[in-house]
Amino acid sequence: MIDRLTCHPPHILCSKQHIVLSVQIGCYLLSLKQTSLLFKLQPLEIICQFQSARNTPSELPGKMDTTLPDASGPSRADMDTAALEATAAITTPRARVPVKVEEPPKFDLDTYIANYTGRTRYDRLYLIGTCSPLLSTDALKAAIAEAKTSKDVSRYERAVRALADVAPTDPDASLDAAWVQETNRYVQTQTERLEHELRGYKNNLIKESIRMGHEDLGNHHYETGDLGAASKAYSRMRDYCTTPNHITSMLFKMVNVATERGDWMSVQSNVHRLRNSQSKPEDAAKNLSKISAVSALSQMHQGSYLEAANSFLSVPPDLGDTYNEVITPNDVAVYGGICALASMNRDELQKSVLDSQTFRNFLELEPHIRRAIAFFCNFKFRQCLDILEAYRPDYLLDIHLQRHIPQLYKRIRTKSIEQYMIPFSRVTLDSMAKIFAPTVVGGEARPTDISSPFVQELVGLIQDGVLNARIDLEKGLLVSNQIDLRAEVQRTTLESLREFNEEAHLRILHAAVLQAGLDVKPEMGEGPGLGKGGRFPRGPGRD
Amino acid sequence: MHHGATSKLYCVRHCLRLRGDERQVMRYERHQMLRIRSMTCQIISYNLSGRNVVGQGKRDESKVWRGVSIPLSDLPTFPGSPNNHHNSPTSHFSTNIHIPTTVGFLLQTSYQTSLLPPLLFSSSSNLESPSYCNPDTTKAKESRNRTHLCAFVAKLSCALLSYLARMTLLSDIISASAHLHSSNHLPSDEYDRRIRELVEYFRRLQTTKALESFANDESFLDRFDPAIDSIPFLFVLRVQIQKVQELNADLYPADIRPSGKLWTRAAHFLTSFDGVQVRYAGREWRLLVELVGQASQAASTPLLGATLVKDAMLRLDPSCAVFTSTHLLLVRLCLQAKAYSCALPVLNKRICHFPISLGRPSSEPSVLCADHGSSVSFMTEASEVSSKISYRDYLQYFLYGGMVYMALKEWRKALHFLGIVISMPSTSSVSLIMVEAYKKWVLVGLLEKGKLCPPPSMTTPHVVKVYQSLARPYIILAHTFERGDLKKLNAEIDAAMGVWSADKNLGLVAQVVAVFFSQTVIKLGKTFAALTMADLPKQVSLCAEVTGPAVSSLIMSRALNATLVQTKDHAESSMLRFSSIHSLPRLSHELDLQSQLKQEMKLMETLVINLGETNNNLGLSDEYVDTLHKGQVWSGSSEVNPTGGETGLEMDEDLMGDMS
Repeated sequence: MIDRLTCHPPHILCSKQHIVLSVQIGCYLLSLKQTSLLFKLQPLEIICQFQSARNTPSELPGKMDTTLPDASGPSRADMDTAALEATAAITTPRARVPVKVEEPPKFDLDTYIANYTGRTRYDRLYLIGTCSPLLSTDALKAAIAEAKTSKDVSRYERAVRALADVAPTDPDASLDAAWVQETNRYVQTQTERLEHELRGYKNNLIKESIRMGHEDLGNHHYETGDLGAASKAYSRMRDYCTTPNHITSMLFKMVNVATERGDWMSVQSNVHRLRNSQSKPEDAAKNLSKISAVSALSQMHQGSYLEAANSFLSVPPDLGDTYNEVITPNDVAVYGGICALASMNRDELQKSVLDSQTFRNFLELEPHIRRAIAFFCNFKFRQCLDILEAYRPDYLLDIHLQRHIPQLYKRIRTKSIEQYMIPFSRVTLDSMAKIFAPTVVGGEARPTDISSPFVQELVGLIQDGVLNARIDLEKGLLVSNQIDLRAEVQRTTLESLREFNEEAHLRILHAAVLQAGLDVKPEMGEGPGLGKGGRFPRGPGRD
Repeated sequence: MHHGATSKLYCVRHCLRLRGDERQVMRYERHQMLRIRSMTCQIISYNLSGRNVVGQGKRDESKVWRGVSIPLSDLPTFPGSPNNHHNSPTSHFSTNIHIPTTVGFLLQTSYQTSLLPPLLFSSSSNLESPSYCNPDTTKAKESRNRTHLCAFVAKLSCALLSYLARMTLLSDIISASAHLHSSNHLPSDEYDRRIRELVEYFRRLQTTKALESFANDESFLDRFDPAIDSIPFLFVLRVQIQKVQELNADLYPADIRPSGKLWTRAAHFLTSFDGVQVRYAGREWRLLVELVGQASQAASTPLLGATLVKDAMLRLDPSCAVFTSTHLLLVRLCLQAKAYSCALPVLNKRICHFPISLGRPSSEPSVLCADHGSSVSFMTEASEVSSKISYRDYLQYFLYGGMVYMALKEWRKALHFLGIVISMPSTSSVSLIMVEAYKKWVLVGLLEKGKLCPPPSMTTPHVVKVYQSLARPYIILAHTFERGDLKKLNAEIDAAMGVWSADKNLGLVAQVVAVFFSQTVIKLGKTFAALTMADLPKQVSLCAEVTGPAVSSLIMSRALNATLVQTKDHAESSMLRFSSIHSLPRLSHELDLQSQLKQEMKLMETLVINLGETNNNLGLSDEYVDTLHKGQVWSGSSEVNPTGGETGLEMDEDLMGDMS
């Protein structure tokens, strides 16, 4: 214990109060030492008491977790669910601006939806139905059919309402009241039955049964669309998991629920746990592809596109159709390709996307993405942007990509303008406009006028510091800034000298003020003459 | 060459004995006023023209008797400067006698004896002597004259006695100060001892009121050159000023005010005193400087006072690195006089110290006259060069200094000064001076950098919170400025007009608007290489009529590095072409940069010296020693001895961390 003590002073002696405090602690520990000798207590326990007495746990080395596993008190599962609920409460009430996609998408609805399994089919169909006027009737009808096969009443009602808005005359647009009533009753009885069974298992205290009881209840909630209850039930399984396999399957279930809820923080943390779970090597390899795919998805949703791109690129090719309830290989190719385009420079794209052995398998599924990246790498920005523009409706109808497409496209565009500018010292605005704003060139009389949207876009880029160039409106040029290195060095030297001098002076003055006891203090009626007294606030601590 | 006090006294006595008159008794006491027992004394008279003195006195009787009321200072001056005594007697006197009468009174001194064989006469008994009486006068008139003459001589001798005493004191002073001069080449500790003795001597004279006798002697100060005899000059000047103040029952009588007699003396002194000597009489120096400042204020000519105070400060301490109460006086005077550049020589020096009580009372006083690296070693609390300083004083000084720089539009330096004020360490409370400074800081930050500057990193967080709540209108103004919308900026300014005028910041706010336009145009130069004047207003959000002239004036004042080009097509407006960054005039620019770099280098060197000094002082401070000691005790009590030394070192670091 004494050894622990002597290593503390540097932390404790940081400030005046701490010195007094440290003296007190010293006395306290001396007394503790005697107690430990008297009662033969374990040193760690003393530290523990000591810690609670000091009421500042962070001061001690952070060994508490490993040395005292029991000290963490109530089970973690409860805390996790609490945290999960909290984050879910923040993320779920997301008010989505309804997106309307007028252009026809390139895909065929039936083949598209056939790629997916599970509840995501309904979600995707519903999204297409609400966003694309062209496909809405077909998609919503399929969604209603999908909902009717499941036990989720709310989904059915939602889809019917949406269809009633689009095609009121359609026979499917009216509620099947009998089915609704029957399903509701079934769901209720089933819930009651499962909860009753679970109570029975709990009385019997058989871990495996309790786990399975929770799992059944969770599955039931998931199927009926009560996601909050489902994730709660799944997270209760944790205490009853006995094998690594149980843990992985539980975590995957939680990931699925969280993905559907859009709770990406929870996805992330569960992915982390999955990575750290000690399952068998062959299972781990099998799960790896799913894990990395879902983690990449959550990164994309959190807006860190570069990380997402790297994660997508590292998804092993054996993902195949194993994870169709969340993501298909086609999705991996599209998401990964677009994220990479938006966040990487040309060299990185060439090296880690086009030349990547693993990602090539995915890219082959979506050749246009491959073409777009190749065009980008070869400075053919017009073609690259054209391809992306052509597929914009498709991506806007994708459940995951929809929210990020404007942001991602803007980045790609900015980056291509930036890359385009690199080799030139001056470019005519006309030639740039031909590549980046063909519609403007065709539509307006003076495409390079200051008020044209393309020039305004450039102005915005320059002001944001993306483009290091200036616009010459007289000659219609974009001139890149030439930095006079000598002047620049001189300027920065002078500036840093000045800053240093000012700061040094400030600090010297501070020291002088404190030494002279002249710091600004409230008037206590004693006047400023109490310099000495003010300078020795720790007088009583002296011996 | 030099006449010691004793030899001079001896000569006086000797001269008195020449008459053999036993009724004359004189007692001398060294360093004190002479006390004369007998009312009569030998009067030594000398006729300039060589004629009979009394005859002249009689012929010009009325004048002589009126002469009794002649103030002492009008008596023949003492030929104090030793180099006079080789001159011929006549020229000697013609230079020294100022009075309109032909009768001169002369103190017999050794060298005068040798050169001028004096006519000895007078004393009441000798008045019967025929040589002094004019036979032509009638008896009655003679007797009346005699009584008059007796009274005259009595008064005269009385006056002469005090004169004699003063002369003795004067000769003492001269010899003491000459003693100092001869020790110029001595080692500094010996010189230190002597100068301390001299100051002690004068302080004693001051307490015994002995110097009062010079209070009316105008000629006295003529004898001393303030550059050589700073200390006698200073003390006597102080006495004279006090006398005048007492007589007129006014703190600043006409004599002291600018162009008064004593003012010119003080001015002469303050522009030419010897810095090393005055270090020993810091208190008297400070009182004189303060008086000069206040008198100039009272006469509402603060500029005269400001220049004198500035000269005096730079003379006493050329580095000006120690804050004194006179610093505050100076900036205040300069602000009142609106003579901002007058304060610059002092403001440009970096203040790094405060007068501190050096060492423990038992320790030896340091050798003040030695050639110190930094002024902090002689500007101590004990020397009383500064009056007692409170935190308000230095806060005000830096705020005023910042205002001086603002008036000169040196925004960067102003920002530095204000930064000092707002970042000063404070315990639990904030001074309103700091809040005022923060308000100005926000505005000056906009003027210099075009954005809201965060307070210096050393500022205590709770103080920042206080600023933000108390200076809300200013922060809102800064945010609007940053957003770059002129209309909103104007609206914001109009909305809080009361605040600006109440804080007396209206002028700064007005400049903020002016700077806003130029900042925006200059910023445009980073986006555009050229654009038409017609397009400009859209970018700046201004009406077109104002923009043209404003841009032209910006270009002409060289705030904006650009050219206006008329296009061939006159229908279109002219083209504003921003010069590229590297087309500056090379050579002058380089030279300018070089000199700036040198300047900063010099500044840094002084800072490093001062840093060493601060370090040294901190190392000698009680607190440091105390903590060091405590650290050792503490490490001893925890029974682990090997770490004792390290603990001490860590304490050291903690202390410094606290300080910064």
